[in-house]
Formats: sequence, structure tokens, C-alpha cells
Amino acid sequence: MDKFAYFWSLIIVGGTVFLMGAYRNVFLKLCFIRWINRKIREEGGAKVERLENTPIPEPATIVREAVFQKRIRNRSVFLWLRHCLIFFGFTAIFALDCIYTVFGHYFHHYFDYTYFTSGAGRAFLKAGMELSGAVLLVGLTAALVHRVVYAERERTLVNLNLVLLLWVVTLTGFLTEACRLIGEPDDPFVDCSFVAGPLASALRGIDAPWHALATPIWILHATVTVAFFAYLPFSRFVHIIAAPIGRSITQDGNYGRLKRERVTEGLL
Amino acid sequence: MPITNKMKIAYASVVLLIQVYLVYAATLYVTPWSAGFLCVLVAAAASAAGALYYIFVVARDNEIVAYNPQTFLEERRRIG
Repeated sequence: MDKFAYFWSLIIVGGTVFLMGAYRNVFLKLCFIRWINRKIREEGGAKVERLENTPIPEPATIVREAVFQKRIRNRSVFLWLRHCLIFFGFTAIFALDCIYTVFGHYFHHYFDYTYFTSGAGRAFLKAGMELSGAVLLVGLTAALVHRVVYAERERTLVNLNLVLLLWVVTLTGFLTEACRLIGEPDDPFVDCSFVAGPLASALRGIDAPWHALATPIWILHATVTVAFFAYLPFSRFVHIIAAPIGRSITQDGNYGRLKRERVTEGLL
Repeated sequence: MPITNKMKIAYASVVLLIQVYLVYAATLYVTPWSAGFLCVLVAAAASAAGALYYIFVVARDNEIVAYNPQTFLEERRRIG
């Protein structure tokens, strides 16, 4: 079995596990939230969203809590900075990687263009992924160090295995790109790889069979990445999706205040 | 209750469509009907069966992490 057969089998299995977790922890919750909002509205009770039964919080709530993450800043500037590095690094590299996969690896089979395969678009995406990957790696490293140093206090708040898994995903991503650059030293976009490029130069100085290691490292990166995404909806990272949506129930009145104090802080 | 059979069927259909699409996408990189492609097909068939079993048999739709929807609704009513 070649590496692509393994990769696509892995994607299908991992994607299905992700969708099963999303059913349990996102889809069902959406149905619950929609059902509760509708019931409360029918009873004329507490204020529920202006958007009838749609479980979407107010835009101001999304900006304040999902983008600026004010509630975490109230706890500590360090925790806020750590969370921002992980949040913005992860969302940026995920979005750029999706664009790169679709336009750099997929659509060119159907449409004739070079912008994302050998043009400026590829350079932009490469540089963006390097920057967001570096931001993510710094945030995750800070999270790991903080979790280890304050193990007692953070044990119930931070899932060490999950953070470690994403850290390995990010690190193997840079290693995979570095191994590719070792094999392709004349890559015209090597300057865009401002982290993996110097890493490749450093690795060349180490006497190791990098050409032979390139494929196993690629497979390792693909495997841990798919494992991370499959685990995502079963883990606390599900709050990336569920927390903003759940705020359509909790953003108003006493319930929101109590919910914030009791439950939501624990997820951060 | 919040979840109906129609919703479950809709969700399962989306899962199956995504799997069919991924098998199709795999043909761009793996030679159709080669040994590698058969592995992809086996993975897809096993995943589809697992997903259907999970959605229609295993998943407990009346509970989210110990939160029963009725309990959740009553708490929401009580607190306001």
C-alpha cells in the first residue's frame, strides 16, 4: 500500500470518527439548544434570541468572547495571551491549510491555473502557514510549560494529552516541510518557509538519512493530524464550536451569570 | 424530544455523502481498483457501517453529559 492509499483510508476513518463525535457533542447540543430556546420563547419567559429558534448568539457576544476573549483576560493576561496565540494560530493555519489543499492540491486537477500551484498564491499561503504555525507552536509550548509548572492547579482545567497532541502535530508539520526542503533545495518558495527553511539547513548538517526519513515523517504527521481532528469533538476543544453557540442560551440574565461562573470557566 | 428520526436520517445521509465524496477524491491519488484503492474502499465501508450503528443504535439522544433536556429546560425556567 502506498502512502496515499494509507492517507485516504486514514482520512475516511478519521473523518467518520470526527462526524460521530460531532453528532454526539455538536449536532445533539444544537438540537437541545434550539429546542430549549423554542420552549422558553413559547412560554414568553426569559429573553431568547431575536432569531426565533436559531441557536446563534448576538454578534456583540461573539466579538467580545470568541474574538477578543474578554472572559479569559479577566482571569489573567498570561492565560489570555496563551489562549490567543493558540486560538488565532490554530484558526489561521487551519483556514490556510484548507485553502492550500483545495486550490494547491485538488482543484488544479479540474481547472487550469498556476496562481496557487506555482504562482504568488502559493507563496502567500506558504508564508501564512509558516507564520500561523509558529504562533501556534509558541502558544502551545507556553501552555505545556504552564501546565507542567502549575500541575496541581491546572490539572482540571487543561487537558495535557490534547495540548501535547496538537504540539506534536505542529512540530511534525515543520519537520515534514523541512524534510521536503532537504529533498528539494531549489524550491523557488524556500524563502517563504522562514521556519522550516532554516530548520532544513540545520538538519542537513546532521548526518542522518533525511531522504529516507521524509516519507515516515510525512506519514507520522498525517497520522497525528488525523488523530487530533478525530479526537477534537470528544475533547474540550469542542468548545471552539459549542461554546459560542451555547451562549445563545446563557448570554442573558441570571442563568447566563450562573452558567459562566459554574461551568464555562472550567472549559477554558 | 429535541432529536427526531428525520434529523438522524439527515445527519447520517450527510456522513455517507461525505464518505462517497472522499472515496471519489481518493481516485485522484490512488489508482482505481488497485490494492491500495481496495483498502480505501474497505475503510469507507467499515466507517459507514460504524457511523450508522453509532447514530441509530449507540448514541443516547436523550442525554448530553448527564444533562437531560427536560432538566436543562426546567433549570432555565427556574433561574430565568
